[in-house]
This record gives sequence, C-alpha cells and structure tokens, in this order.
Amino acid sequence: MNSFSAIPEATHEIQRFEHGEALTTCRFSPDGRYVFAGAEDLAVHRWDVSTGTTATLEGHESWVRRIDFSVDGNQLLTAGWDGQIGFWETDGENPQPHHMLKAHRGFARWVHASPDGKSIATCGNDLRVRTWKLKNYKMTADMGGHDRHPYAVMYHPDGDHLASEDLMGWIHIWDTHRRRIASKIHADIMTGYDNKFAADMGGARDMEFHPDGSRFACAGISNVVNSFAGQQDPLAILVDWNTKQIECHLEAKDKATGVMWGVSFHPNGFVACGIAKQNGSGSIEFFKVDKESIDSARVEQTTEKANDEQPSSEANDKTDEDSSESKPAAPTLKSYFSVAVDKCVRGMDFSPDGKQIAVACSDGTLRILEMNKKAETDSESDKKSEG
Amino acid sequence: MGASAAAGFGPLLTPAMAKQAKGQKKQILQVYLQGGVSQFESWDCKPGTKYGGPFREIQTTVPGMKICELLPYTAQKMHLLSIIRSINLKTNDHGVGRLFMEKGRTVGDYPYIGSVASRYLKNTNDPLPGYIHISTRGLTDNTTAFLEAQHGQMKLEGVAPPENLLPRSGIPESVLTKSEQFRLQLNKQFGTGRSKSLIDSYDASFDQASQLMARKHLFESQPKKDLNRYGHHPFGQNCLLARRLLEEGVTCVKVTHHGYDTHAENFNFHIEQLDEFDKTFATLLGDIEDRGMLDNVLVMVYSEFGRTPKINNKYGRDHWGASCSIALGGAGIQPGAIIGATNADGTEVSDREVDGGHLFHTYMQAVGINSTSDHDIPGRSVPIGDPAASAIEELLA
Repeated sequence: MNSFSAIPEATHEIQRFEHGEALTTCRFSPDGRYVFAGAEDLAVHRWDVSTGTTATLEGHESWVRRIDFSVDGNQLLTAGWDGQIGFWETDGENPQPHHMLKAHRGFARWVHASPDGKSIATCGNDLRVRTWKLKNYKMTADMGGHDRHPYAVMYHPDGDHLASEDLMGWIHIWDTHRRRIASKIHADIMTGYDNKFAADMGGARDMEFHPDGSRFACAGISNVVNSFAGQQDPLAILVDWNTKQIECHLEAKDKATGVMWGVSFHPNGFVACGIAKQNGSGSIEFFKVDKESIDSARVEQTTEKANDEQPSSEANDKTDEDSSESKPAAPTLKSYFSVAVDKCVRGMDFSPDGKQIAVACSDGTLRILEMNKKAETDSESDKKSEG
Repeated sequence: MGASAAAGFGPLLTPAMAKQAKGQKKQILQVYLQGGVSQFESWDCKPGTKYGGPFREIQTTVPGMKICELLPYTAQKMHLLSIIRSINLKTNDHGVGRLFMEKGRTVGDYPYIGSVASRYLKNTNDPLPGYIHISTRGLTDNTTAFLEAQHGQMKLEGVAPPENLLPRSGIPESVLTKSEQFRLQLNKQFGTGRSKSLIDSYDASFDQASQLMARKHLFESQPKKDLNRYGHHPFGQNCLLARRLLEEGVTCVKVTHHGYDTHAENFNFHIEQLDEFDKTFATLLGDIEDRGMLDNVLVMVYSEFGRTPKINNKYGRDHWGASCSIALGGAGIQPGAIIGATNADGTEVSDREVDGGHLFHTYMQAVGINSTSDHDIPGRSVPIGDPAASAIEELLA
C-alpha cells in the first residue's frame, strides 16, 4: 500500500453536490474540510465535504476561474475576470472578502501564493505578470514580456522564480528578485492557428509545479483543427526545471477531442489530468511520469519512427554539414488509466490526504471521486460470507 | 446600364434626398462580423443574469447607453451610432441569416445591399466599381440577382490587388495598345445583335477594372502612420483600405472580419476578436467623421445572427437568430438611439421586433433610395424592399 492509500484504478464517485450553474474551477481547502468552486453565476461556492453544507461567496463581478489559498490556509484567494483578486476568510457561515484588489486592467486570469506565505503572483489580460504583498496588497513587481494574454502564473517552490504561460504557448520564467525574464520556453505544441476562423487558440488552462520543484506541468490543447467547434486535442506537458526542456507530452490513452482543464501531481508520483470532451462528457486521466516510463515511451516512439521511415537517396546524400540532428521531439505518454466523468471537467484538485479528487463540472455539479476500493455494504459483505 | 439608372437619382430617390444627392453622393460601409457575433458580448449585455456570461457593460458617450466592456474604443464613438436590439431573424442558419441581412428576404433572387447601392447611388461617371468587398477568405455570392453585372461585388482578398489587375511586366506599351484595340474590335463583333444594355454592362465592368488599375497605389503600400492607428493585422489593413476606397468614391465597401462562430470558447474568442475589431473600427469611424464624410456614409456593423443565451459545456454559444443586435449610424440615421429591447435574460425580443426586411428598408431609405418602389428594370415589377416589411421610421434622420 502506498503512502497516501490512493489507488487510481479503484477511483469511483462517492459524493455529488448539485449547484445548478455550471462550475468553472475547484479546490480543496488545505484542511480538506471544504471544496470551493467558481461558477458561471459570478459567485464562489463552498461545500463542507462531510456535511454538504453550502455557503456562497459574493464579491466578484465576473467569473472566477482560479482559486488558491494562502500558505497558512487561512485565506482563500480568487482571480476573477473582473480584474480583481479576492482575499476571503475560509471559515464562517457567510465568508466575506477581507479585500478585493484591482489587480489587472481587463481580466485577472490567475493567482498563486508564494511558498514563503508573504506574496501572491497574478497575471491578466493587460499582459502583465505582477506580484503583491499579502499583508498590505501593495504591488511589488510589474513585469511585461508576454505579447499575448498570459493565462497562468505559478511560483516555483524556491520562491525565487515564477513560470507563466500565454495564449501562444510561450512560457516565461521570471526572476522574482530582478523582476525580469530569466528564460523562455516555447511550448508551441500547446497553441494553434485556426485558419478557417482566423484566430489563435492555446495556452495553459492549468499549471502546477511538482512540490520538489524539479518539474512543472501545463495543461491545455494541441492540434487545432476547428477550435470554434471545440475540435482540438487535450494535452499537457511536463517541463524539466533544470534543463527547461519539455520532458514529455501527456495524452489520453483513448483518442479524445476537447480541452485539458486540470493537471495535478499526486504525492505518490503519478499525475492526473481532467478533460472536457467535445461531446460533453469528461474524464480523469492518470499518468505514470517516472523516468522509466518517459524513457520507455521515448524508445517506443523512436523505434516506431525508425520502422516508419524508409531510407531514401536524399537522406543518404546528406553532407557532414547536414548531419546535425534536430532536437528529438518530446515523447508522448498515454494515460495508463482513465475514469469517465458524466460531464465536461472544468477543474480538479486532489484532497490534502491524497485520497480524493474534487471535480468541477459543466453541469453545475461538484463530484468527489475516491481513489480507493469501494467500501463494501453490509449486504455485499453478507453475500460474500454466504458464498 | 439603363437610362434612368445611369442618371443614378431617378424616381427611386426621395425628393429631398435627390436634391442633396446631386452634390453629395451617399455611400455605405458594411462591417460584417462573420459567423455571428454574440449580442451579449457586444451590443446587448446582460451582466449578472442567468446567461449573461463573464463580461460587464460599460457606459458609452450616450447617456444611458451601455455596451460590452470588450468595446471600450467603440463606446467612445457611440454618439455616432445607434443600436437595434430587437432583431428576430427566425433562423439559426448561417446562409439564410446572411441572405436575410443582405437582401432583406430569406428566399428569392434579390440583390444584396451593396449591389442595390451600386445600381442606384453610383454616378455613371464614377470611375471605380460600385461595390467592393474586402475579406480574407471564402464566401462567393451572386450579389446582383437581376441587376447588371457591373453592380456585383468585386471581391478583394485582403489588401492584395485583384488578380490580373496589373499588366504583366515586360510587355511593351505598343503591344498593350494593340491588345486593347483588338479587344474593342471583338467587343463590337460580340455586340452585334445583342442588347445594348448588356454590352454597356460588360463595358462598364471593364472600365471599372481599368480605373482600379490606375489606382494601384491603393494596394501597393499603406501609410505606416495610419497602419499604426488601425493595427497592422489583416483587419486593420482591410479597414484602412476601406477608408481609402470610400475616399476614392466607391459606393459600397464591405469589410468582413472573420471568427465569430464561437461554439466553443466563446468568451476567449470574443476577447481576441473584438479586441482586434474595437480599436480598428473606432479608428475607421473616427476618420470618416473627421473627414466630414459621415453625413453621407451609412455605417453598418452586423452579423448573420447572434448567439444563444445558453452557454454550452464548451464555454461556447451556438447560433441564435431570435434576439440579436446590430449597430449602425452615419447617413440618414439618428445617432445615439436604442431601438427595441430584449427581455431580462436576453432570450427573446420584448419590444419593437424587427427582422431583416425592416433593416433592409431602413438602410435603403437612410441613403435615400425609396425601398417601397420597384427596381428599375425593363418589363418587370420587382419591389426593392419586401412589401411586407417597412423601415424603422424612428431611426431615420
């Protein structure tokens, strides 16, 4: 048995909280007592997981698509498309905002608390990545560099760096002390131009660092066909922090069309991703992302490619100058297990004990999945005994 | 071209307009948001309601008139425009909606707005084509129906000159002259036994193309200073070309902005598309006003329909013709008005319902064409506008 008693293959739904309005994102509170979710009714909703008691947090004038918590767990942080960051109490019957910070002109896309608990990072449609002091809400850095809308920004666990990804798949690594870009990575696989409708589609729909800081994951889309009809592939990437190279791509084992709205590292080492499919259903996909799995996928793909390619005279005519090999494409890992969800997944989060997954769905339902074997009912137990 | 049409201002013009039109030709600028712009994300916001979506409304330069926050530059020009919020097209089909908005009818062989304008507003001595459509792709229509060929839309693929506009390089002038003489000779032979108006129509089309060739500078370069204001993206370039074509006297210029058929990611796509549209359109409208042209240029911003109130599971909105909006202003239109309304959730028209037929009459009468009369074609009686509909009188100046 692993340290968190999580068995992805045994994942099943244990609770369902109906809201009615489509949900946009969700997070477990750090103590595991609550799940908070954004909704298309402009409010944030809180469910007490054990009692089902609800509370409505009103204060934003637009949708909340990103929720985080202060490191001490006492403050809920919300990023709204009204350009505001909300700072809320988490407990109490009727949680109120301590403060609503006008953080961006246009839409605030993301908020993330720094590991030292003193700051937050935000990004918005004004193309800015900003940091703020948590204790007085003062801006400490205002950084430009994205040419298109940045969708997500996260602190590296060292607290000295940020990573942000924009619509065009550009990932900027920021030095928080020097307040400037330290390096760039182009995840061009995560963006595409829809020729028919003449528009770009892409960017990070979710982002997370591994707790040890060795890698981070970005979830979104790839292979744009007709994004105006939702025709593109859900995809996540893992990026190696040291080399700043894309380690691998994560795809559903069964071909899917849609958007990957969630990605999260589980303490046991696997990664889970939440997908909204074009047909209106969803799934949670589980991936083994250890070095062995990635190497194995790389070897498999190299072998497949070699088998597919016939030697040509053109290739044989290459001179020494031509022989420099292009950088090998990152291997694609397929999920090793998938759990179907009735409706589109728009956000997901592991519970602090690693046993459950909260899933925000497009039908306005918050689903709680448990990654463990179903508890036997008395009648089932009796039947086995009789058998 | 028939005699009365050649005069341009025959019995089809209202008397007041005919008098004025002698000195100041009316023109039309159509900005077509292809695919169906969302009324919730443009002209008829419902923030905080069941289907309102994430965007807020902002105040415009007209007291009490609010539009979507995605249009901040246009909001500063709304004193030049009016909004119609009560359009019910009774169709959710792209093709039918487009024809209804262009022809004022859903069925039948009728000419588009641009072709009608070219036919009745274009002076015979206007050198350029009467109806030019600047787009970046697709959608080839027969816009003339029974009108003469020279009133059909000339389609430009962005700011690139029309194919074969310029003579092949390296051909001596003497050869070109002989070629033209040969063409005229063939034309004469072709005309023997054929109707003069038909031959005149072909000749006019050829002459228009020749005149466009003489203005190749329009396509060769666009002033950088202007492009900085309009935007260097294709829509910015296209709108700048539209302004220059209007300045050159083209009767109807249509610019298509693609990318509004947002069945998925409606909100992110509207952020992107309207961000591109907003500043560019406001700049174009401002330039038309600054040049003193707005009294004579009817400006239309329209789609083939709107988008559903219900937000689907892909964050999209689907086709919706039952309650949609347009904006228009300039020649013959009262600025700063809001015509009609939808109910609180935007699911249906609640006041002053109109459709494509009413809009067509309104456009025509705004530029002085008597849309209740018949087309000026020999031997046939074809009403210009649908007799079952009428203009939105309270919107006309």
